[in-house]
Amino acid sequence: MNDFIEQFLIESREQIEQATAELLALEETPADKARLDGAFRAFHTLKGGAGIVDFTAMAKAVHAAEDALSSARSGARGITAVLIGDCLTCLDQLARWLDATERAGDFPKDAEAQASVIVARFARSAGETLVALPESRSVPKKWAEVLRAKYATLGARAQTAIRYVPDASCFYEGLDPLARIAALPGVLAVSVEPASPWPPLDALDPFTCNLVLSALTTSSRTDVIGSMGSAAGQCDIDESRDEEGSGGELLPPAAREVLEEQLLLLGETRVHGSTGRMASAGVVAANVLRSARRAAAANRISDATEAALAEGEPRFLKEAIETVLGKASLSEVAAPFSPATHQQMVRQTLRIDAARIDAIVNLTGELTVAKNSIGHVAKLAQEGGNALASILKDRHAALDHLVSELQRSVLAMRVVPLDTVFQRFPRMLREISSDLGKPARLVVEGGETEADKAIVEMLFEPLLHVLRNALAHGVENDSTRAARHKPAIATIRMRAGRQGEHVLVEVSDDGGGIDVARIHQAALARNLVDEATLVAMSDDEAIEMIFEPGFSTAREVTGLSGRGVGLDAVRTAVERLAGRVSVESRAGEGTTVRFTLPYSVMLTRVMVVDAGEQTFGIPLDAVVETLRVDANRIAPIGAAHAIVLRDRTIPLVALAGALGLHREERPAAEATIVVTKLNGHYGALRVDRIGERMEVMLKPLDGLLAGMRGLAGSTLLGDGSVLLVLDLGELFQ
Amino acid sequence: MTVRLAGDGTIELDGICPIEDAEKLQRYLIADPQAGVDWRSCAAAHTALIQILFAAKVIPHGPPASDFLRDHIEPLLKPRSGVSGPGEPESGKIAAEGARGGTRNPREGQR
Repeated sequence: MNDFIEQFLIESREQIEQATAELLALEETPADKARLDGAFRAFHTLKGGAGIVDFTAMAKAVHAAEDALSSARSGARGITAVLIGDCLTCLDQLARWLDATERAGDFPKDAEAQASVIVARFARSAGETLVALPESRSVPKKWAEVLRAKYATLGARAQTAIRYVPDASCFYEGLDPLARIAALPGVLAVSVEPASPWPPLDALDPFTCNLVLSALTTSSRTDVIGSMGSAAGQCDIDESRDEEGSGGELLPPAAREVLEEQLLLLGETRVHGSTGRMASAGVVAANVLRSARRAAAANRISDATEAALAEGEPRFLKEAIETVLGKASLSEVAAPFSPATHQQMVRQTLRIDAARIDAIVNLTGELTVAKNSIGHVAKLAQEGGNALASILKDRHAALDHLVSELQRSVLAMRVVPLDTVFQRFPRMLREISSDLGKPARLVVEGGETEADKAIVEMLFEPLLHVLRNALAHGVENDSTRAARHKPAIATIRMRAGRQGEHVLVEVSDDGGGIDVARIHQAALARNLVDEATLVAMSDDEAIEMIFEPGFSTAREVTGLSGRGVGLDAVRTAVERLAGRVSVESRAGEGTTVRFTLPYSVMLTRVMVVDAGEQTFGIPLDAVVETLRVDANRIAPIGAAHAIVLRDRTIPLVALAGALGLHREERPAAEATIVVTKLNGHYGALRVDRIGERMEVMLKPLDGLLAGMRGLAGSTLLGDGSVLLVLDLGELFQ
Repeated sequence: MTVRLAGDGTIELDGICPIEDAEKLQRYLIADPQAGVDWRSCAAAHTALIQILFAAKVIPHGPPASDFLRDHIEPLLKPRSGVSGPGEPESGKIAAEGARGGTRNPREGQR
């Protein structure tokens, strides 16, 4: 694959993300012009990219979407769920093409056929809502002039004129054309004409519509289109425009683009052939304006063209065009394509292959190890009474400082905002919500919060799982919500924030909360607990059981959730990256699932312990306390051991034995114990000695060690020995 | 039945007149082109019925009960030029009668 295509893939994916975000926001607030413009620009850029790499199928599909958005911008088309849906479908297709291109190194062969499907899709939906026929924009609307003249007394109040020619067979389709006109907002006057001369009454088919209906209203074109609904396709609409006051914003985007082109053309006009260029630019600009029904502006351009030609000075014409475009519209159109702004962005960010960053991260890890070994040497030197010891110690301190800085900077390179994963969810929610027939909106907060790339990428699956659960199980059905006086549209919040070295991510819904009684039933039915334990359990503890393997209270299996892959999968995924997940529920008010994740995956604080003449690390996060107890207090329970601490019975594992190490049976009077807490479960580890605490770069186990039970990873210690870090979850299973 | 014949042969439009009654209105008007149409209690009428009024060049006796019909349709069924003004509905009808060759029901004037 050549660099060109590689670059094209990266940029297109960015634009697809951008376009998706804009479309979803637009669906939320259809009146938001900035969103519409944003979506349009993203499609425009996609088309440009496809053109550069000669991916004609993609250009074709994107062009159809761009056209549809363009009609929406000019008001000829309403912003409907159909339009948004079609555009999203188009983006989905693009994403599949890009993936296929990346795999095969070339554009997919069947893309043309798929592009035709997309184009047909837009053509079909356009038929439903497209109002202004292409030619109607360029031909002055005589009927509108006549109508306005007839009702001249209405003056400027008659903002929009509509001419509705219902299909002859429309009565059979259940249409009542006059009722549509009557329902228009702000109707000022109505005119009814026969489409063809009236036949004698006895020859008239009463069920064939032979009417042309026109009306003048105070409302805008968009409102008229909205009100006419499915009949809008049979309407011609003419909105009066205040030419002087409107600036460039009412010009159709295509017209603006043409005018911008003329400006560029004129910008180059310095030397030969300038007269010809000026003349043609002037003619094109004037024609564009006339076709956009901006006669006065067109005349001004014609005058300016004459002046420019007479003086040989293109400035006159340029200024006239700029005036017509209006300053605001000029910057609006120019911004996304302006080479200056583009270059600024390129200077600020640099794309680097993630693998190269990882290489630096690894090197930094090695450097940390080297630094630690110097610390070890310094310690040895001090013990040996070496004169260089203090110097060595000083240097080690300086090196320690520098390496820490380096490590922080390197890790910062891997940091990405959570938005990179969050932005995929509005789209997901839209689909899940329509599948389940539960209307919902997603509110995302704190998407700018940053975390290590690995964490952010890992979050997608668990968050999706929780989101599905929230909709499928949390959010009540319509009638229940109504009975509880909750809004019909459920709100799901996805929040993120930094808390010290941790990143918190919460997903909360305003649903019914977790049904503790059902949890009890399910837990008993699945033999997860016995009745006695259940009785002793607090509600919070009971709710935590939803994270247990094999737990699922879904009464029916849907395509979305309740597939047997429960929340335990979520917990496993989160814990793999040293995160935690918890749930909070209020009956009738909603559920919140909270993820607590490390900001960066690499640094793990561990406590070093010795057991069976080996050294192990215990993740410090899980350590509650360390203590020495009388060996008699360790009581055998069946094959296992337990210890009672502060009225709590805690299972105890002798570390050496659990890991299958040689076990020295010392009849020690005292036992050294590390009490840990993981997922709310306490556990005690019997060790021989407790050592120092340190920050290590944890590496996952590979090779032969990968399959070893009870171990989470390894790190190199200062003296070159390997420190194995324990996986407490596995040890206490 | 929203379209019915009154005792004097006047065709009355009453309430919300659905498309189903369009044929009946047409039949009545064909049977007696001179029959007057009274739509004073007409709250709404399907386009098909209005179309018949236009095609038959009937000037119904009004005003109709619907604002839309009264404000926007009734004036269209009346002559657009001539002596009639907004405040003189009766004279408008007479003028229309003359202009349209006597298609109106003479009984209309007697009421």
